[in-house]
Amino acid sequence: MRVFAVSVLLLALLAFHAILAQESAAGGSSPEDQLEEEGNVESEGAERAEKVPTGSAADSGAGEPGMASDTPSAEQQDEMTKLQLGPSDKVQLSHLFLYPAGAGQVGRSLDLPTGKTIRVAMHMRNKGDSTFHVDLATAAFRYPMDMSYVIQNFSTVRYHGQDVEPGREASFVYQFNTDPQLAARSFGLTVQLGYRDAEGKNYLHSAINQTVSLFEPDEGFDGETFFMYIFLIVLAALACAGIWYLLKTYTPAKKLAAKSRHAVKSSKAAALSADSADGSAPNNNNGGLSPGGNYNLEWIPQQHLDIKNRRAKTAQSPRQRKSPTKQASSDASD
Amino acid sequence: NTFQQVAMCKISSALVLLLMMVMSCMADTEERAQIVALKTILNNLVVKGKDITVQYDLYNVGSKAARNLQLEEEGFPSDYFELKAGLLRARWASLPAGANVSHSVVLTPLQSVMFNVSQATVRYRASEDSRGFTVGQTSGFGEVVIYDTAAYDRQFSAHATEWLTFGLMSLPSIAIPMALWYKSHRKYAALATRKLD
Repeated sequence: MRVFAVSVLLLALLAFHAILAQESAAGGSSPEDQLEEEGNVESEGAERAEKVPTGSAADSGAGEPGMASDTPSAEQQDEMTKLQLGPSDKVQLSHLFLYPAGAGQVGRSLDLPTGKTIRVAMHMRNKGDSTFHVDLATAAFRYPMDMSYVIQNFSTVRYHGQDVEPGREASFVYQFNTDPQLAARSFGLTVQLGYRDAEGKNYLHSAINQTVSLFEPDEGFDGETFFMYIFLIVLAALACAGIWYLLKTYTPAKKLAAKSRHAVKSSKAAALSADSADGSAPNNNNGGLSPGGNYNLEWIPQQHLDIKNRRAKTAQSPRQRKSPTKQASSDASD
Repeated sequence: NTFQQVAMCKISSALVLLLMMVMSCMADTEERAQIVALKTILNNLVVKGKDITVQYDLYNVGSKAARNLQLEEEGFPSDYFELKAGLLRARWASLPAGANVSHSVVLTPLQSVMFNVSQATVRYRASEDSRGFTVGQTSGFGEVVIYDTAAYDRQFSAHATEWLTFGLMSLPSIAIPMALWYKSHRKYAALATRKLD
């Protein structure tokens, strides 16, 4: 009887230790660095999945009714929980991020860049006795507070019943693109592997079921921004040139007259003072300008000025004009 | 009484043993190596007669080094693919925990068909004292279209022959007017020089 008591104590101790070991494994303190062990968590979570309707019903492709937006009745809920797909406890599924490498490791938060192709490797180990047939892999962005609300579904990759024999392992690569327009915020990411066992029962096993935060990657040289800056500089230069042109054209005539008068005085002062043939003083000449002061007569050849003045004096209509040769002779005589 | 005690002893020890076995099964945090094996074709297009590079990446995500790692590729039969460089069977003595290794093979497709690039096999010893090999499969690549050379060249080649043919065919429509012009030009140029003389 003493032996029996001792053995009962030992039994109790071992049972206690076993329960503790299971709990610590479920707590996520895995010795592996790069890998997150989902096997134990999932086997516990299987019961949870049975009770809580998850969004996986909508994308498992097994023809379950879609999620109703209003709260379903008790009967509908029972039906839904019956058709829920969960993981199989004979399968251990783990994941590894290929791009960005090392994301989600112990001690690093899971941050994914927007506008990039994210690649994940899923590793499946068949711990059971029968062959599993892997059908598909899928992923989704969900609302982090309520994982049943799907924000974005990613494409489903079909494997057409790839066999994984008992005791064997298999790896699968799944990739998806994060939209560059997604704002930097957090989503609930689920990456799931769909398989069925030898009896034909379907399972949907989440390799990743956690909150990720998206960030905008630093591109460095952005062609778009560079050319935008060039465009703005050119636009500013164009505006400056436009303003300069407007100022030049619409400055008052006085200013312009003063400018040209000054120029005429400084350059032609010697020539005008030396000119005593017609006794015209600089003042009579109006500074080389027209009588109205609008334009500079200095630049006009003398023959045009004479003709113009003569015509103004005679004021003859062209019809009354004699032949050009006669007119020229009469001009010469004047 | 002694008989009963002995019986109890046996039962209790059997139960203890059973519990220990159950415990070891439940504890998934066992120390072992785990190899994630991936297979990718690096080329964008697979064309008959043009080399493709197949890359195998092996990551050890376990907590122990993997021993006697072997990679066996049997998914490229010799009547469909010709091996140009690399080995379809590779071996590594050990792969430490947390390390990864890459292996590449260069092949040339010999036929233009729809080809299913299936998984290669990886086997390794999960730990020092494990007796059997752990066998795994790499990721598959799916069905690829092996284009024939004509389809590839239609899109990507320099089309030198086509340009040459085009040049030769367009020559008459340039040469004939030029010849006519030259004939009349020569006639009137000769006339002009004669006139001057």
